[in-house]
Amino acid sequence: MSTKRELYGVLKRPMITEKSSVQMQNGTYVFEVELESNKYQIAQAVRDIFGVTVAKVRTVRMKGRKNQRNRFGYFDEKDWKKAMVTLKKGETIEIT
Amino acid sequence: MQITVEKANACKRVIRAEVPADLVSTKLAEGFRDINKQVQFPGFRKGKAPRQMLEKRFGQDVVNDVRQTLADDVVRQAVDEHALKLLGQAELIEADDLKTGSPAKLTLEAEVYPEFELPNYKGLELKRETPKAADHEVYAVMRSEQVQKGELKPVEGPAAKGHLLRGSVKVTCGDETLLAQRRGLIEVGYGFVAGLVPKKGDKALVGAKAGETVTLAATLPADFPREDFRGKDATIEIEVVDISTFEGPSIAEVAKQRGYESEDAWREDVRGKLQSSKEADLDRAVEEQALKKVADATNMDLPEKFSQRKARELVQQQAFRMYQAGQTEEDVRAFLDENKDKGVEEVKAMLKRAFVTDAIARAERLVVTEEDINREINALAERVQRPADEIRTQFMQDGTLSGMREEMKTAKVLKLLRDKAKYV
Repeated sequence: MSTKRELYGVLKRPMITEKSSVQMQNGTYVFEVELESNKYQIAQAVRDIFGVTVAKVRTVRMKGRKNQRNRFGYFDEKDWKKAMVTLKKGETIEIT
Repeated sequence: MQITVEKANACKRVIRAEVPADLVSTKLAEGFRDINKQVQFPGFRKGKAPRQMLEKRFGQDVVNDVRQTLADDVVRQAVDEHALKLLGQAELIEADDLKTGSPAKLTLEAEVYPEFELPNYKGLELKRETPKAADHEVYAVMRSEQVQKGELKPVEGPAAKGHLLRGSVKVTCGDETLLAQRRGLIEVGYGFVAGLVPKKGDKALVGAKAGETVTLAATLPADFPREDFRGKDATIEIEVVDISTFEGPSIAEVAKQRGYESEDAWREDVRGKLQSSKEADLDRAVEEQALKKVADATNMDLPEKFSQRKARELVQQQAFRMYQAGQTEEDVRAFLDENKDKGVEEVKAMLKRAFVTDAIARAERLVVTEEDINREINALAERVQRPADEIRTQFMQDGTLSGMREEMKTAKVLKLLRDKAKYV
């Protein structure tokens, strides 16, 4: 059993965008997750935090943009991970 | 929408409305759609944010807006169905929480024109004096024209008959000031000062010196404008600034210069003009008297909130004028604190007169036609030397035209009261 701290270490924030709002209608919720976390850890975190049954987890490693520039100079954005979590039919999560 | 109107008192109505669920839902949906067009959330294109998100961020604002829109619709429908004549804005006093899919009840309070019965306004018994331009008034006008054509030469020493004193005049009767510090020229030895006959007669100002204050006693005449002072003793105080003598054309010469056949012809013309100006003043006084009589004889409940609002507006206007006149903020604040509850009675009296005037105009079918307006605008255009069309456009833009219409209607009512009165 993982602690809350470990669970929230996996799920960083829900992603609320136009596209994710449409996916939510179909029971798929999008989260930004810890880069090193795997599908099993994500499923466990969603299950334990929201008390729902996870049917499927898809993940994608998002490449951070390189050679970005700000007033201090050049930098590279970090890579990050996005997870699309599909719940068991009929179950929902309250995210606004 | 089902609307009922209850009469709370002669000028207050309670409007109750039941808004059906589908109308509430439609209005809420419209409200959220409108706000969606204006806001942009990160991750969403403009207008594409989900309703849930909008409800969380702007829910209460949209509900308040929709409630106000529904209240406006209710008032509009109530005015149409129940022929209400509103005074100011209706106030929403109670409303259910608006939820999609549930009906809502709204209760509003509105002040309306009071219901009252007009007393008899024809054949009012009024006092009207016959105006008469006095000789000294005619002379004062002619003399002032004459002085403008010539030159005033300063004179050393005490004033003698025929000299002109420049100074300020104050007339008091007991504690009351009848004329406050009016500056002007006074002819020594003519026997009239500020329109009054000093007890010393034509010797009144003889011997006066520059820089001194001369006090004269006089009795107020029987035709003095303020009735309660007639026949009383008054004090005339004159602060003499300087003394001069007039050098220039005689009155007869000025009359010739002005194109009159003789001095007498000019005198008669001045007398005629003064007479008609006095007639006009008396007409105004008689109209005031008539309207006051009708208003006093009318029983009506007056709208409390509307009167308070108007009184507050008047005080604020006065405060704004004080700011404009350069008074300090502390002075204006002190004035506002002191006067915040004042003026309600004056506003009520003003409203009563306005309602009475309006009711008489309706009873007598007195209307201001386009022809009346055109005539008035043309006369004004001639006076100010500007094209009539330009004045009309300006009046239409700044809203003066409706004020002018009201003013002309009031004038028609006052004329009717004056014409139908009995003079005693």
